Amino acid sequence: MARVVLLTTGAMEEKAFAGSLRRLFPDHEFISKPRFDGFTSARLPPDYETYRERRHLLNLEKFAKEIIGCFAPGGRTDRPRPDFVLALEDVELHNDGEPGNITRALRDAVTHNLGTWKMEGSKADRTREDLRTRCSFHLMAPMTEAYFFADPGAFARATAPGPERRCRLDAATCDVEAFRVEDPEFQATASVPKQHRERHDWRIDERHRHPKSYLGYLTDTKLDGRARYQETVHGVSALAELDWPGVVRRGARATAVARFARSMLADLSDMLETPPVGLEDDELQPADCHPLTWPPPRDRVLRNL
Amino acid sequence: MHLAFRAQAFGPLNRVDWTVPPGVSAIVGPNRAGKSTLLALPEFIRISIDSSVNDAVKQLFGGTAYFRNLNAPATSSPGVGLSVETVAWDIDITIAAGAIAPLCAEQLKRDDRVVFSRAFGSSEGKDDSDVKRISLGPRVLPAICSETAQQILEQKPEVFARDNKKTFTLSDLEFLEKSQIPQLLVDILAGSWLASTSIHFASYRTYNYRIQHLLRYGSTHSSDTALERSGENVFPLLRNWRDDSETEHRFDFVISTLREAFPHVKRLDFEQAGDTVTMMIRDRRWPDRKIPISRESTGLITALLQLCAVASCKRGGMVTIDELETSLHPHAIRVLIAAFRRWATEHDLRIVLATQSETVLDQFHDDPGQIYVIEPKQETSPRSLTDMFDAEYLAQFSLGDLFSHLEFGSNGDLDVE
Repeated sequence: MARVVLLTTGAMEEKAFAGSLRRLFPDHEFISKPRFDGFTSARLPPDYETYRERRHLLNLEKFAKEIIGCFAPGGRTDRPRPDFVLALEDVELHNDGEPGNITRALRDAVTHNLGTWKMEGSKADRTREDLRTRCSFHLMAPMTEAYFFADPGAFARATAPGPERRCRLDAATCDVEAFRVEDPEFQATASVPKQHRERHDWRIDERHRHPKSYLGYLTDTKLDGRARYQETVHGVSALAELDWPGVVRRGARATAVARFARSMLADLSDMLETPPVGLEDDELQPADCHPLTWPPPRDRVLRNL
Repeated sequence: MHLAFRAQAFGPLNRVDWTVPPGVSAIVGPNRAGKSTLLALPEFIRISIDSSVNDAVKQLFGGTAYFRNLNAPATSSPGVGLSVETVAWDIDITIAAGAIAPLCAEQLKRDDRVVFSRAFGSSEGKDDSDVKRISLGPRVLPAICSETAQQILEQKPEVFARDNKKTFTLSDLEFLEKSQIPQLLVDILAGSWLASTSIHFASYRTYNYRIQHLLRYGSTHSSDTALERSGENVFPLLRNWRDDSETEHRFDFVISTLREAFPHVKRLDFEQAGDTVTMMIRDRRWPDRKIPISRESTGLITALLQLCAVASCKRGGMVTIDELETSLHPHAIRVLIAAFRRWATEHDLRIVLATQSETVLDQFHDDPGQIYVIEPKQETSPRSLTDMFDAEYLAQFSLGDLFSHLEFGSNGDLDVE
């Protein structure tokens, strides 16, 4: 039985992702650390070195150090170390067109911090090897809520006791990771400026690309911006029992969908040497995964970066 | 000066082996782990020596019901101990019929040599020769030594005369040992010296400051030179410090630090009506007006009390503060801790802060060895953070971040799904 520690950046993921994966790999242990501050809420620059010391990359630095810290010497020895680490982050709309900036930035941040972290020669080599073989980073695109639209059960739990209006996204004919919803009433509602917006108000710009906003709209009884959907309640419920195989299954589609999610499952399957429950190996072919996160590159810093 | 505390089956603490470093240190741990109890241990010892163990249990635990660790075996009794340099005192506290039994077993050591001991229930003690029996009163050994030393000093001042000093240090003991003074008397002095050290232990709990009462009713006029645990005497205390050349440096410390933490403060004025003393603030923004302290923020008043708690401590003493961070902005926390460090260095103090604050912990980034951790499954508490992690590992992270991510000072390992 392997012990897989999850590093997440959202409250929903912190509470539910471990249990969600446990259902796919029931013979293994999944544990979430308390969540970290995310680093994709702003557009990431293409060049890490130039922007490294800018304040908006501070969270990226912390995340990279946390990843290294899982295997670096000098940590607590009275607690079990993970066998594997799975770090997760949302692409978010800011980076939707350039997810490569995220993986590049994280890889470069890990590389840089490995270089500045003082470790004895053999321990440094060991840490690098552990990162290469036991630590992965995966993306949810554009965010975890996108996958709820590809699983009727998750959608029902997210919109419980039921959506206020018809959902106009047909996941059977689209890729939820390229989330675009055509819903005239949803899109026609005027946006509310940020300074006047309450937290979780779905009336944002570019909302047709934002799964969480659409969930907010679908559960907003009075269309006043106050949605019933709460990430830490409905989102947790939806994610905890998400049908990942159903989300990534190609079905009748000509091309593979949910490639980032598929990458994560393929990586986990390889890591734990067992396919996820409900998915066959042919659904996890490298060619159907997103090339940024699976299969692993030759000169890798992490398992898959 | 080496200072260490020991305890077993003491409240929620299984076993304590706590060497308190000089300067400012922090104690961190989850709720109900025993931080406050650990901070109360020095005061417990002080009251035990100054008054009695029974009084210490009553004042700090409200009685015996929750004094003994609930997980301790039925046959084990609580105990406490104190080491100051090479002098050590340990007492096993027997609880009988819900009360503290008199004449508990105890021993006083010097350089690991037992100089005096008492068996449980005995009013006689033995000296280190184990031959001579000494009649002992009901008080604990350090208190008896203190009383005896005082009596000898009054009756035969020439015995201890050295440069006409009436207080002793360890080097004085070593000097006397080489002289013709009988070993017994030197050992009595050693016990007395340990007792004299303990009277300089003070503990403050932020949540015990009676701030609303203070703001509403002011302070009663007094000649106090140390802050009460409730903080209610802070106004006459500050005025007394300010008006005495021997103590005005304490007032200066408080006002200068307060100005740094709260830049609008220009000066403090005091007013008295009858027996009631209160304070007014001169605000830089409105220099012609005096603002009553009751109009100030809770944060400023809390900071004032914390500064007075530290400034009250005698040279070479120890002060503990539980929950320093309450009501304080991170800037104020940083300013206070930096000021505490300077003051502790100048006055040879030990200042211990019990905290749950990431900001407080981050102030120890350059000296993580000053952080001590209490966790529920520890056999012995507290544990230095640098015993748990390599310093190089800790240098990579914010200590506050590690704490908030449950890497230390939490209830246990991460939850398993």
